[in-house]
Amino acid sequence: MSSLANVMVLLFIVATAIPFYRLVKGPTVFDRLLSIGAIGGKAIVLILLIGLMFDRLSMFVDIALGYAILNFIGGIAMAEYFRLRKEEE
Amino acid sequence: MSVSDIIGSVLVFVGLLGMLIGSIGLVRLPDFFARTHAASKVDTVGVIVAVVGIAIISGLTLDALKVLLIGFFLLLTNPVAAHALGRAAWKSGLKPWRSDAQEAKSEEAGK
Amino acid sequence: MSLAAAVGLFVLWVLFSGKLDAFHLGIGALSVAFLYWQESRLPAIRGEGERRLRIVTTVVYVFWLLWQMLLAAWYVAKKILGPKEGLQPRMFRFRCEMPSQVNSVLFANSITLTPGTLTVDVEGDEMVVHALTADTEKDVFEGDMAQRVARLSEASASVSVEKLPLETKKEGRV
Repeated sequence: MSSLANVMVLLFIVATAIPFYRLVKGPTVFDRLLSIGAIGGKAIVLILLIGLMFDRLSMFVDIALGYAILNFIGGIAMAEYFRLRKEEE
Repeated sequence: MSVSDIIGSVLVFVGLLGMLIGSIGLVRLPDFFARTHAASKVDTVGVIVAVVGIAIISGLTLDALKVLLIGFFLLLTNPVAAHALGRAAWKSGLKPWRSDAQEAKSEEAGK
Repeated sequence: MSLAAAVGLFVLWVLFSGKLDAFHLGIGALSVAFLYWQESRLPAIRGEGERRLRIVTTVVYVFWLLWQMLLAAWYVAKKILGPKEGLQPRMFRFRCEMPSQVNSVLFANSITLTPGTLTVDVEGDEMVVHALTADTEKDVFEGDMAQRVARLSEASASVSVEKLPLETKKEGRV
C-alpha cells in the first residue's frame, strides 16, 4: 500500500510541476492564466487528500470549496481585466 | 482495507493520470486554444474523477456529500472559465496556430 | 429569484453548515433573505422570458453529456500523446437559432464539453468555435447535438446549423 501511495505522490508532484513551465514561459498572458487555473484545480485535490490523510476531512472540505470558488471567480476576473486592457491599447 | 477504499484509491489514481496527461498537453500542444482544450477537458475530468474517488474513500457521510458537491461545482465552472479565457484571447486578436499542411493548402488557394 | 431557488439555497446552507440549532439556521435564513433582496436589484436577462426545460429530457441529456465528457477527455488525451501531424486546429463561425437564451447557453456549454471543440465567442445566435481536427468540426455541423438541446424545451423544435464566413476582425476595434 505504501509503495502505491509513494507512486501517487510522485505523480501528483510531476502533474503539478509541469504547468509551472507554462506559467514561466507562456508566450501570452492567457497561457499563464490557463496554467494558474490548472494548478488551482490540482490544489483542490491536494487539499482534499491532505484532509483524508489527517482524518480531518470535514474541515478541509470547506477550505477546498472556498478555494474552488476563488479559483473560478479569480480566473474570470483576470480574463476580463486583460481583455479590456488589450482593447484599450 | 475495505472494498470502498480500493475502489476510491483506483479512482484517485486514474484521476491523477488524467491530470498528468492534461499537464503534458499544457506544455506540448502548439498554441493557446489547443492548450485550452487540454485544460478544459482532460484536466477537468481528471480532477472530478479524483474528487469522486476521495468521496468514496471517506464513506457514506455528510463530508462525502460535500466533496461530491465540490465535484459538481467544478463540472459547472471549468467549461465557463475556459470559455471566458478563450473569449478574452479571441477578442484581443490572438490567431489560432495552423499546421504546415494547412498553411501550404491556403497558400495554393491564394495563388 | 423564485421561491424554489431560495429554498434550494437554504437546503445548501444546511448541508454545508451541518448544524441544526436555532442560531445557525437563523444566520442561514438571514443570508438567504439578503441574497433574495440583492438578486431583485440585478437587471433581468434581456430577451424573452424564462423558458421551462422539460425535466425528464433534461436529466437524460445531462447523463448523455457526462458520457460525452468522458469520450472528449479520452479523445483529447489521445491527441495530446499522439504525433503533431494529427492536429489540424481551425476556427469557424456559425449561426444556430435556439428557442431561448437558456438553450443557447446550454448549447455553448455542450460544445465545450464534447470531443475536440471549444466555444470561443457567443453573440446572439452566432457562435465562434475552435476545433482540434476536421472530424470534430463536421460533428458540429451535423446538428445532432443542436437538435437535442433545442428539444430540451420544445419537443417539436427543429434547428439548423448554418456556416458563416469567419470575418477577420481588425485588431483593436473588436
